[in-house]
Amino acid sequence: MLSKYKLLFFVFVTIVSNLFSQNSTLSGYITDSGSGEGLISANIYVAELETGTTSNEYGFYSITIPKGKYTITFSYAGFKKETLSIDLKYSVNSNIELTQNSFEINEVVVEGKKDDYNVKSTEMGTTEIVPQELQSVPVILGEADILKTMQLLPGISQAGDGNSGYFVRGGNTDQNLILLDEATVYNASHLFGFFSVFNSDAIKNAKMIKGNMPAEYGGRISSVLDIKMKEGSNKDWRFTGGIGLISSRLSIEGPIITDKASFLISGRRTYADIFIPLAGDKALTDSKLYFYDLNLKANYRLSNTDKFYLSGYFGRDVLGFSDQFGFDWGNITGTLRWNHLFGEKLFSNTSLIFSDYNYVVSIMSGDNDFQITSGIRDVNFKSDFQYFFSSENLFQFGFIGFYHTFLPGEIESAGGNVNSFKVDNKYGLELAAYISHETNLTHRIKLNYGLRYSTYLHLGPGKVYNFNEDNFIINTKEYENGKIIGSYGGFEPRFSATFLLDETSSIKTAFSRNYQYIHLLSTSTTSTPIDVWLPTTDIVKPEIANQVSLGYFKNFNENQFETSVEMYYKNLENQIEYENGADIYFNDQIESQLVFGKGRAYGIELYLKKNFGNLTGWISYTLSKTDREFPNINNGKSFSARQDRTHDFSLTAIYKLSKTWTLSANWMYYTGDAVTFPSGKYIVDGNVLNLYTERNGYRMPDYHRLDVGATWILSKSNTSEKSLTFSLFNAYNRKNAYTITFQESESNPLNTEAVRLALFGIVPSVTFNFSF
Amino acid sequence: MISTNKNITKESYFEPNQSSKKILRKMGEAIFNKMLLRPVKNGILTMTLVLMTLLLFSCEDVIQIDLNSTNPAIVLEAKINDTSSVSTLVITKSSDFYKQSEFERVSNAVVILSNEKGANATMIEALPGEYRTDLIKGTPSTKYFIEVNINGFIYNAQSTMPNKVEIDSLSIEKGLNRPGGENGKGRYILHIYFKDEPNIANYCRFKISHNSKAIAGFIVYEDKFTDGNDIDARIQLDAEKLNLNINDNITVELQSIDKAMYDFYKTANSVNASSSTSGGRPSSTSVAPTNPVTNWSNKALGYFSAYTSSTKLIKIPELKN
Repeated sequence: MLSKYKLLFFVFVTIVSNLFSQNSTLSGYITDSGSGEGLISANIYVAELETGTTSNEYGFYSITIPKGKYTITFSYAGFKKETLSIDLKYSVNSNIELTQNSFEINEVVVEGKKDDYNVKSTEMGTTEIVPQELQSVPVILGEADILKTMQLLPGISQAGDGNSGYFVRGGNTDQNLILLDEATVYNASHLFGFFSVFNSDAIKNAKMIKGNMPAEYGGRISSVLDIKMKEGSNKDWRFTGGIGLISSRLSIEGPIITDKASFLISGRRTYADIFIPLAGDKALTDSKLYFYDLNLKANYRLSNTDKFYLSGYFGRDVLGFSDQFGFDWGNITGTLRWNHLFGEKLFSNTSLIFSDYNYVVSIMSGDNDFQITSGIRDVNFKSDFQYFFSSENLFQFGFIGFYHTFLPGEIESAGGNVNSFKVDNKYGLELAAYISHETNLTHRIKLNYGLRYSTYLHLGPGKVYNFNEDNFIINTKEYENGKIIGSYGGFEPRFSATFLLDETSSIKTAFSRNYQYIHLLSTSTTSTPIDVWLPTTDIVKPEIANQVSLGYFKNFNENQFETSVEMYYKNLENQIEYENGADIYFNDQIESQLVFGKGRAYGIELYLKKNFGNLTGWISYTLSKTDREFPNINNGKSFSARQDRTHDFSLTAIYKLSKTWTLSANWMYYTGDAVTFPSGKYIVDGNVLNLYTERNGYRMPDYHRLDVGATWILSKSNTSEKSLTFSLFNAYNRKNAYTITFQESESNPLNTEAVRLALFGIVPSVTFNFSF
Repeated sequence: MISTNKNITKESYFEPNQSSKKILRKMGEAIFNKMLLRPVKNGILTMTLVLMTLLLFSCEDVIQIDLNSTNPAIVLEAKINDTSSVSTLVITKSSDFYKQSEFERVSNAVVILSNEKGANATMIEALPGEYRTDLIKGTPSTKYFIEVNINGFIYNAQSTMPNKVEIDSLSIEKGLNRPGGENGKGRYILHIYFKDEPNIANYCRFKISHNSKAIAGFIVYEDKFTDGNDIDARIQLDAEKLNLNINDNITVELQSIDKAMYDFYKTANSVNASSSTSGGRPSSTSVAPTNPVTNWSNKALGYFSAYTSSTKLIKIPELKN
């Protein structure tokens, strides 16, 4: 095993030494001339050499080519091209500002990427979304939502009607890593999943990677959603906002020091509760029911080589009733970043990150006051380097460390019936380091290969229990503060290759192996605020996934149409479920309530996208199978995973009717998820109980839904815009089953019947959006 | 912490077109009653549903689902307690979901009840499928065994009768958030007062009857957070749905049970079709409902419970709002 990695290192070294020659480097930042925001994945093309590169996630680019005279084009979709004629004799630093196409141009801006990026890059199973795309897709209650738009892409399926939770290629929801400016967001939903925590006004770019992630990402085995917040305009002040039926939002951005420092503050709050006092009941006047989000970001450019960013997110859901109970939960993240250039080829970013999720339940009932708290907290340090060796070779390396604190639960009582109680905190250190190399082997073959090593140390103070078969503790071992209780680790090779068939089509293949050291188990199909994150311990092993994929990519008509077919197969090891009747809340021996097994998922994904024209949009279709096998579940027989969905189809269309009207629609259809229904019934103590014979042996009814929307631009100029967005969620009022309950009939208790609960009928909404 | 089964409160959280005022009130009660209480997930589901109701977009209807037929499974329900002289076993078979809820009884089984002190007795089939004996007395802190032979298939179970827990008293008051005339008779809170025995894990089940008719559902208690305290267990009764009237009898039996029986009732609650009005009902949002954890061997359904019994009766008083 080890010799394989030595060989890999050898390959690195030879490539590095072979490519050394008399070259010069052109480097700098590419920004939006209007706001000063760095442009991500902007295209740099050297016509004479037929080569190029793209800017990184901070807008930085660096290209090293032989000395000579060149015409270099800088482009970014929706922006005017800039051409630079240069006689490159020595290394040059050139910051480029691109100007947005003026609004008269009758073209819908869909993507910021290089036009044929999907064909030529080594990325597989990867999609980028920019907020402009979100605005036109109809959504429930008019809240543009990045997670719900993602669900319209192949391989990504919604975890319940109108829910922002998602499954990627047969993985569980906790196997998705969600990053907001590099900080882990542990619970990405508001109001039990009906809204995501991401306010689209504050988002610059979002990238979804369905499993074949490059070596710089790790920690979850199914997917990565990497969301970047806007930096805030360093040119002039801007106000953006919206007033909707259930919430309003406002963003303010502007320069602190023109061209050097800027900030962004973006807030959102729902206001259903504002109407409560109208009910005129004193007990209700004190009730609470709302959520809010606050995104903050500031950046400071010290010099051309050093740039600092500070960003934060703070969001909370608050429910309360009178003086009797309160229930609130939310995330806090903070990221401090330092971009530094070592010369013109080596870009570095170093980040210190804080991330916290917690919930608090307060019960106040006279003599029985108590409060329950639980959560997870991370302090995280990472450093990433990008070495732009030549136009054909990019090296990336870095390391990341997390210190996790798990707070499984604590009850603080003010006396009365209930005693104070605390489940011991658990501590862990998660470390990883990686190196990767992206190279063009020939004009037609591009490779990206890398290696990541990750390890998890379970740290003291803590107790380790040994259980017998009946889950009784045989012995307990106690560890002191800072002592290593146990550790796991492993190599995570990543590889992807692109073979260009011609200028418009390619075949790609990829392999990846991922480790996951923290786990979220849920007893319900949708995530709830009180789900508990579990660390890896001596009993809970890291989850591991291996995924291979193969795809064909082809663009037509000058990149107006993108198509792709991707196939994947993955196996999952050390999967976790609760055992039957598990006692999961406030259990300090929760490991005794778990069972372990394996899983696999495979499928084929078809995708067709139209990028420009009056009609734009995409069609996606996924055919897949996902199953699990646990020795203690379903008598050891393999069963369909809950998220196993055979056919999943969606169509999204956006039609620009005129300069002022844009119409949109999306329709999704999928066959029912696997579900456990009773196959019989029996009587115990006068109660009729449902009888279950197999796990997930039935299917929910097929789901389909049409949403339609329209955007009416009331006024538009270069600097301001006012518009109204209308939407109709579930336009033909399909009763999609959220739950099916098997119960005694109220009219005839001798009969039992199946009752469908459909959450959303037709839901109209209107939102007023503005920016100036 | 009381796991109230929603049949007791008999609330309907998702009737459309309820005023937001009423819904908030219900949400309040739901959380008040359930939040600490297990299963918490039901509280969360309830709140989700309440929120959706608030938006007035949800609806419920009866649909037809194709369900498989099953081979009838053996259901064994055996009880021994410290107050009744007769121990019983009822053997039935399961049926298909869409058949009427009338369950076939199983005769001609050979049943032996014994205890850890070596006493044993054969239970006699007194009624079809119902086996009895009065030869073994139920005594607290004793382990009991039962063996059932049905046509050569042997089923075993054991259960330990815990120490006795007595009800001190009962009281009834109006529900805190009584929705006035909107819901007819509103809601009552039944208080069950008893002393939790310190330093041991106690598990209880409350069996509540209205005018001698048992109210469906399994309400259980454990002392994980209340060890050694004076307990005031509060159970909501929906006066409208249960048709409770002044001077009606409410009987509470406090059964002190062992951990296995607690697990049985707790897990049975989530698949209980009888207590289906809302809340702890068997719904498909639960990851995967499964048959309750039983203490029988050989995959039999049902339970064998050795429990102590303490019963008190209260008449529903005239109450002011």
